[in-house]
Amino acid sequence: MIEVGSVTRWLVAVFFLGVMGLSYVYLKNHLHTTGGQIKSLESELTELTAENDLLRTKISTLSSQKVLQRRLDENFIKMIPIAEDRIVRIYAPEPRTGEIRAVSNEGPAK
Amino acid sequence: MKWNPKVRATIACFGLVFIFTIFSFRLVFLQVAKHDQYTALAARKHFSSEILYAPRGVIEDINQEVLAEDVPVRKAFADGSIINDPAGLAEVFAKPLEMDRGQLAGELAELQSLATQARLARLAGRISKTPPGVCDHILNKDVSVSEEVAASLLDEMRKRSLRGIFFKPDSVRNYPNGSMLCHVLGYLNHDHAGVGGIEESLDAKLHGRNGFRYFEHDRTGKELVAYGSQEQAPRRGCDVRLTVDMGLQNIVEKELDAAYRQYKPVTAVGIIMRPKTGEILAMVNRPDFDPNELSDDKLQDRRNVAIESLVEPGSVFKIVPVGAAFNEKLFSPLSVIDCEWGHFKYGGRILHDHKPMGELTVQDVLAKSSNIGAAKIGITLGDQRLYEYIRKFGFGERTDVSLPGESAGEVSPPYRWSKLSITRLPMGQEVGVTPLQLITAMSAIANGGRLMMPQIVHEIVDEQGGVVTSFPPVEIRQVISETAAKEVRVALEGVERKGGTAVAAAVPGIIGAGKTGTAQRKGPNNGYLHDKYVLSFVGMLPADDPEFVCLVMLDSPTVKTQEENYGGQVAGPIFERIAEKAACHLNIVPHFDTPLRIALTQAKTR
Repeated sequence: MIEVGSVTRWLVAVFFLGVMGLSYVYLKNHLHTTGGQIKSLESELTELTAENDLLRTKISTLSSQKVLQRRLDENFIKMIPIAEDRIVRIYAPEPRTGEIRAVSNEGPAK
Repeated sequence: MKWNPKVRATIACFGLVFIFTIFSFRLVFLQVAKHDQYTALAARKHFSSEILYAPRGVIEDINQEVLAEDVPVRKAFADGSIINDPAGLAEVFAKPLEMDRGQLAGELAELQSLATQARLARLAGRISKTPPGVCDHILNKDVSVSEEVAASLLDEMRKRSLRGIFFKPDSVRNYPNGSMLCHVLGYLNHDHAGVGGIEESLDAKLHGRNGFRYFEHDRTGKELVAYGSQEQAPRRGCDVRLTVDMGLQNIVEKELDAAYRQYKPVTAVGIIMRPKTGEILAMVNRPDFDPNELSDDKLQDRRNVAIESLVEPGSVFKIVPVGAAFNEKLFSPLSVIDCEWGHFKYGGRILHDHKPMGELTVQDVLAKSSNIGAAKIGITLGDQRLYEYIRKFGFGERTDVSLPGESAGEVSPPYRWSKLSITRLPMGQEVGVTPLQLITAMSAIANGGRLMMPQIVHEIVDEQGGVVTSFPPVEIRQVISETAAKEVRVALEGVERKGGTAVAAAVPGIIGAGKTGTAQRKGPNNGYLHDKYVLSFVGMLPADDPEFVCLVMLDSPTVKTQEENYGGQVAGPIFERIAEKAACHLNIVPHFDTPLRIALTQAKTR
């Protein structure tokens, strides 16, 4: 005759152990997958940082004095230096208070 | 004995017990006695460490324009133990690594053979580990490839099922402005150590701290993140912000370039300094070099002449005896000195002027650059006092600017002077100075007699932007009184006026002051060369409250006629062009009693 109580106890114990085992396997697998994802994200981050550094380098190269001067010489922004024969020298009058300054002095030359 | 089942079973049991006992002993031996050895072996096989390179700090100008920065690249390495096809690898990698295909294939085959020999030797127990360089042999250390190129090469390897070459992260230094400011910035050698300029002097600050990563990997080399790893993040080096203004630097570079092409001097130097603080706003040397493309054949071009080279300054040095004489109240600006019509006999030798002159005021001695007048001022001062003032102006000692290789200069003490020295020193002979010392002394005149320490570094900033070290202006000493300095400045204004030695140095619209220098080059046997001169001009703008001091110096320029071989003729106009643009850049307002330069443009009607 089968003792129901005993069988139930065994079944519960086996089920419990089974769940424990499966949970362990699941968690282990999950840990492995998450680890892989972390590594992949880290690699992506490193690549993005490197890419960012490269872009920053390109920006600083393209905005450097040397390149800007070359672009200016290539007439890129259509600015040409004022020729010597287009410059005159005049004696400006002594300014009275509140008088506007001579045109050559307008604006900071940055 | 009868071989009944009981006996056989007993023997079998004993046999099993014996065998298991041996196994047990072996297990205990391996697990306990050999524990450390095998743990280390396992660690070697499954743990790897990786260096995480710390980027070097950025060098910027005062307006935060980047002057030097790291660019991430990849360097190719070969692992002899996993190379499977040297010829195939050479076909893929020879071109990007700038190597000959046959040479690369040979190198890889040799590495493969070395790795096989090492493996056999290890198995035979002759060696305990693979010799260094077999598993991480660098291929062409002079060439690195970009991240994109490295990725495409690895893809190509995978497609062709090739093994044995891998990439490690590295960096190269990029100087966006090429040769501009090269002597101030310096460059890096193969070991990423700074050589010359700021790269060398502030190497410890710019250099970051490398990090590391210690991790476990599986048989294929893939990292087992689940088992955790140790990592220390790299710490980036500090950023260095210079006092240099690239706008001004560009102005000086362009003008000095033009002068270098026109006059073909041995060297040329241009410096702009802010006298009130001692900040160097621009520093240019010719010849120059491109730190992005270094070649070993022109090492001489890498010298920072502005701080390393010693020259006899010539007449610019007259500011020293005149400043001293005003300070000691031995002369006033209007005191009259007889300049002997160009013939002054002293110590058995005749001293000449560049043209005969009679009685001159001390102001005119400077404006017309009379050697005899300066010599007489020197004689009145006396040996000891003149020497003391020369030293007070900073000659004969390093300025301690933050650049390597600075010369102290040569100033002999009076007990080593000849009888003629007292007449030679006031006109800038028998003394060796650097261009930086010269502009620093002139800056003292411009700054009310206060000698400031030249500064090239504004501040050092950490990764978060916090200031680690700042460099406030340092006053070294009060050389001469404010009144005496002003008197010298007023006298120097005459140099650029009609009758002065450098009319061509005058900037239209702004009253400036300055001094020319025409020094004969020293030749062999301590004599002077008659056709080689160091031509210079050191001026300040505006004269009443100088915003900047600018030095232009050309060593042995080629001129058409001997009449042109004067500082005022050659260096003066270069100064004028630089100073005019610099004044514009610094928004210096022109005076109204001098002619202004106005562009003819169409007037706007309102």
